Amino acid sequence: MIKRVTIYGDSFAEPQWNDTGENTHPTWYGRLKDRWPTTVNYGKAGSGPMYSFKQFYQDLPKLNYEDLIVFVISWPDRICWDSEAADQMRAPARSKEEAMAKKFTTDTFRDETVYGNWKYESLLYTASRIQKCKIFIWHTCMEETYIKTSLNDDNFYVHNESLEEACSNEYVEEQRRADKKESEGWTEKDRRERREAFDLGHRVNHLTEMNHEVMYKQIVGFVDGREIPKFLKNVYKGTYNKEMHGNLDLFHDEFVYD
Amino acid sequence: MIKRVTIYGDSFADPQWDNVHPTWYGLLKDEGYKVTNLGKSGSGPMYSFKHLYRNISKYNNDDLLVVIISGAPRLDVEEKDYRLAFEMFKDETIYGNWKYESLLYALSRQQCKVFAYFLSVEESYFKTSLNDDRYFCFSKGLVDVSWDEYVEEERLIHEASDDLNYRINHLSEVNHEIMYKQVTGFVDGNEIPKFLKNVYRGTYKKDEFVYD
Repeated sequence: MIKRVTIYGDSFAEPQWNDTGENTHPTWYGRLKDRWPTTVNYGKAGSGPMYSFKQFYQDLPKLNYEDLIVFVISWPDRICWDSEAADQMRAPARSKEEAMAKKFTTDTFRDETVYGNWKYESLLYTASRIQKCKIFIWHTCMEETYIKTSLNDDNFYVHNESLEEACSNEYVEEQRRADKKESEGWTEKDRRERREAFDLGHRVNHLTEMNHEVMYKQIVGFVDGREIPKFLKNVYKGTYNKEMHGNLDLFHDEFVYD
Repeated sequence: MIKRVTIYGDSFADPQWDNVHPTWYGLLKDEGYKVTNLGKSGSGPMYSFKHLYRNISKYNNDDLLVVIISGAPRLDVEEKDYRLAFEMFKDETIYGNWKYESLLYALSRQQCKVFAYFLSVEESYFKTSLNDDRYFCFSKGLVDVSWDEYVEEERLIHEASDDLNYRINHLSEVNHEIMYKQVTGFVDGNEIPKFLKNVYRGTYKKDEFVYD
């Protein structure tokens, strides 16, 4: 029986979503903590798997059948350097050095980065075999996975919808189209960054309350051997076509309830 | 049924030695397998996996991969960049082999058979505990195997460089034969023999091999 829950991931798991420290609605990890009070959340906005695995490597030998690991595997090119020298190299004030560090990384560790998530998810899979713990994975982007859902069983589960998709699919369709039109010429990354910026004040962890509930149910569905629900789509009108800053009341009609 | 064997690894697999006796990979070729040997002396897993990432989609049940997982700190970077690379990617390097072997294990679940040797088994996360008919990790590191070939009194006075002219891939002919039998034993579901110990006297004496 599960007694401990540990969460690793990026902004989809970050518990300190805004400055006040209080979220505007219940979150999936908050609901997990209600059920398993010992839940530990290492989620950090903007981080990548390298950051998450720094902690996971230390935790791995201690895991056993009483552990549930929830992992958001983010983009592998979100590098987390080890050395202080490297940290200094990427300081914003030294953008030239940052560029050098990035170039160095992409030159020397290109393959290790590009295929990084194949290895990370594989290690999570073998961990679920050896430690007998349960591991639940969301990928931020499904294209980065090698295993996909093919090895899913009672101890290991990869969800077949990426969080990036879930986030985008929450918007009602006309809003998605408007978003696309408005940002013509932008890359998908540009749009994502804009959505993320808008989310800071509104959607917690880029998802509406309804899908936070779905996420919670996905995890407990896996743990309890029940059905694992899909994310809801077309449930969010978006906020960015209105005045963006200030009064949240402006956005009273942002959600669509079917 | 296995038709193709692809070998990844370091000097224990490198085919570019002056072969004074039959080799384990040569014997596999003689057996009729289509052998591709990507072994390269001095290389590490980062080098091997550069190739593997590109080839991975081609493997299926006709394939066997024999992978010698070398020392994780052998990064595939230019010498001048090594120190900075190691510092910047310390954890990724130190725990690198946990990930490499895990990817091989995942590959064995989905696509093909895998036989893995480590240079040092201490760098393995799950060692032999997931061995089955699709994945096999040999229980002893090849560095130890190489040293244990020496008769005991000779072990302390030798250097690996002695091998360049004498033992191919740091192993004597008898253990090349064993290595070949380990791989085919795994493929055919037969017993996997252990390496022989105390069979090599070193190179500076005329009668260098000891046959019991």
